[in-house]
Amino acid sequence: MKKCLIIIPAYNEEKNISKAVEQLLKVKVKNYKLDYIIINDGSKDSTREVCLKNNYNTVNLINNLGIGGAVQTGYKYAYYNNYDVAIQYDGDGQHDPNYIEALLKEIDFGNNLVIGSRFIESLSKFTSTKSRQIGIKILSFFIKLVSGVKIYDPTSGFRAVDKEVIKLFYSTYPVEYPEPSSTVNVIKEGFKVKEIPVEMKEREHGKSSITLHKSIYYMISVCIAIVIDGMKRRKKI
Amino acid sequence: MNIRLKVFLSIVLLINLLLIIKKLKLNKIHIRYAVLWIVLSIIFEISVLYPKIYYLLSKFFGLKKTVNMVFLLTFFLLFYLILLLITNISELNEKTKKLVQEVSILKERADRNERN
Repeated sequence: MKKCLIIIPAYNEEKNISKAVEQLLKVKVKNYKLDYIIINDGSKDSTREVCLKNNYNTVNLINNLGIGGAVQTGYKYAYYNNYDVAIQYDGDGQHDPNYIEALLKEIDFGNNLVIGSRFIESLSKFTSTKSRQIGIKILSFFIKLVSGVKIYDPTSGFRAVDKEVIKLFYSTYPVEYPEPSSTVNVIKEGFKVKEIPVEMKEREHGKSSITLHKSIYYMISVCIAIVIDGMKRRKKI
Repeated sequence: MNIRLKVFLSIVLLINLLLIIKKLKLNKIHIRYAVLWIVLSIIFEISVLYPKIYYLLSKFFGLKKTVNMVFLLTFFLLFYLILLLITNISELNEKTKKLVQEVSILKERADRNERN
């Protein structure tokens, strides 16, 4: 029986969090013991109280760290508690927990990082704006450029990693815009990355962390981050 | 350069130096930052005593006014100092992040043990 930790970063998700967790608790996967941990990133609303009331497993960060720092806390937790697999799963109800089994299956096949992708097949009815699609295409292009691997959905926050990558993320994880950048790091370290198609829903409550007027700044920073990551030399494993 | 200006600038630099030494004694600043300022004070004092250096430099680079050479070098100096500060802030951020993460994980563990 392998141990799998589901990391749920949550910032101001009082309306979404219980639904996300309840959906998650229904999921059972053969040969895996599924645990979850909510990382409450110093929410200003009642996320903390909701979690306490429902007795959810929660790490309450004593300061707001941003998405990268919050997710890394989850990986540190996984590392300290000796988990075999860690899955990132958003606390806003966008991700469908039924795909966890598919992610774990790919981990069993020997992949180190498995990304749940919205764009790999037209299975997903995820309606994203034209500008976001272009943005993601540009990021894909840059990742392909520096790492030689085509990632269709580099910003996906629905990912599974094995023990080796948990160890890597424990020691280094980007603070800002972590998904594309950390993916490049993983490829550069010589790990195997696999994308599988998943469905994602639009968020029901609250706003996405990326607003339109920030998106240009976002694109520039992520592209620079990817190129810098690409220039880092591969370390010996 | 006017002798009065030279004396005035030297006094200002001396006060500056004394201020840094006082702060060092009180442990208000770390030695690794103070060293930079002490070295800079010495360089400034040399500039005050031998302003001809700037005249020669500006002539070498083809600047019409010597003072522009001073401004240019000051600009580079300030740029470097800000870069140093940004580096330090980033380092501090990384350290605080680590602290917050570790403390929060420990708190979770303590709460869980208390409940059981």
